Amino acid sequence: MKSCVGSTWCRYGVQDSVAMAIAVELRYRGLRAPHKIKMAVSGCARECAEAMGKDVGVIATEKGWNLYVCGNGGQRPRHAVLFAEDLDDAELIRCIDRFLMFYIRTADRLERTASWFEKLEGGIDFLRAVVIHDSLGIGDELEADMQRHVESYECEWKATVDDPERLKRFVSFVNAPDQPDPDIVMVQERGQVRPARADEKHELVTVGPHPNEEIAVAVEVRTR
Amino acid sequence: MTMIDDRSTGVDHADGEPWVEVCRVDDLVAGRGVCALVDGRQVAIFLLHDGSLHALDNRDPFSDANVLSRGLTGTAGDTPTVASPVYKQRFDLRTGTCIDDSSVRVPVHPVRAVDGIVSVRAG
Ligand code: SF4
Repeated sequence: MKSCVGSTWCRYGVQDSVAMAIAVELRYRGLRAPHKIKMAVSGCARECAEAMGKDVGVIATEKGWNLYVCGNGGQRPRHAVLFAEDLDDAELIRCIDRFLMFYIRTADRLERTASWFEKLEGGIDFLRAVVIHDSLGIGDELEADMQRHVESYECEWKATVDDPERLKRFVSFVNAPDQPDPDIVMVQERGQVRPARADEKHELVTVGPHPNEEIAVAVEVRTR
Repeated sequence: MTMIDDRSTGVDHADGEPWVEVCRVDDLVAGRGVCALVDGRQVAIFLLHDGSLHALDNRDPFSDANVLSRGLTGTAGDTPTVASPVYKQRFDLRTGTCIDDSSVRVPVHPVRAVDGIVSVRAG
């Protein structure tokens, strides 16, 4: 999720893009999908958040929000398509709920929204019919699916750190859980640690555990 | 490959290498790997959803890191594979041969489960 600074800090802003970006991020975080999903919210038509290059792009208008879908950056850039105009907050979320769930249900594995959309028979009109006019009669189902996701969300990192059973999977050796991998050797670069290259390793000696014992034995001293 | 609780596949100290008990079957999660330290050698052990066990060296020859036990398991056709988490090359879990570069092979080791205990023989 990317946002511009919006009406809070920008004189051109016509909506609070930061608040909307946070709300959308919190709603869809952790969602399981065929591929990654990128989103952005811009606070006015100047589009500083580049929402039209995202799977889901939201651009503020005087009256509400314009929703763009199926954009992409990277190697094959594609501008997102204008899906609906001047939505209020609730309408916007409902459209995104249905759109994302319809994509998740019908796309191939590892298929981004842009390539999914290119293959979609009937294109944007069909997509609008399904999402806005519920032409397939699955609107409630799609929304219920998304609601289930929202309610069952947990931070998997935190849940793992809090669960001794799950933490067991993070030991280096199943039969020697207290022993770190002796082969992990770290060096400093730009004030950060990174694994030493093979040609660096023989110049290094182990000096003891890294302050973050979860990571590894870190090495910071060169012998010559 | 060894099926769980298949006692017929291993004889203690066959080929001069002893079976080394490394963990319980219950310590394994189907579809994932663990790493065991066997005489200083790092062995990646996988339990697949069909109940089969596989063991190969933990070292990924492409990245020179001990990470194969952390790889994603999957299939290439009918071949069970693990993909290195670093540069994503896949290895045949039964032979250790790299699917994406057949000139590269990772050593594989006999592995078995008897009475719920997983053992490997890694020379
Ligand atoms: S998109 Fe509009 S509101 Fe957001 S920073 Fe740019 S000019 Fe300001």
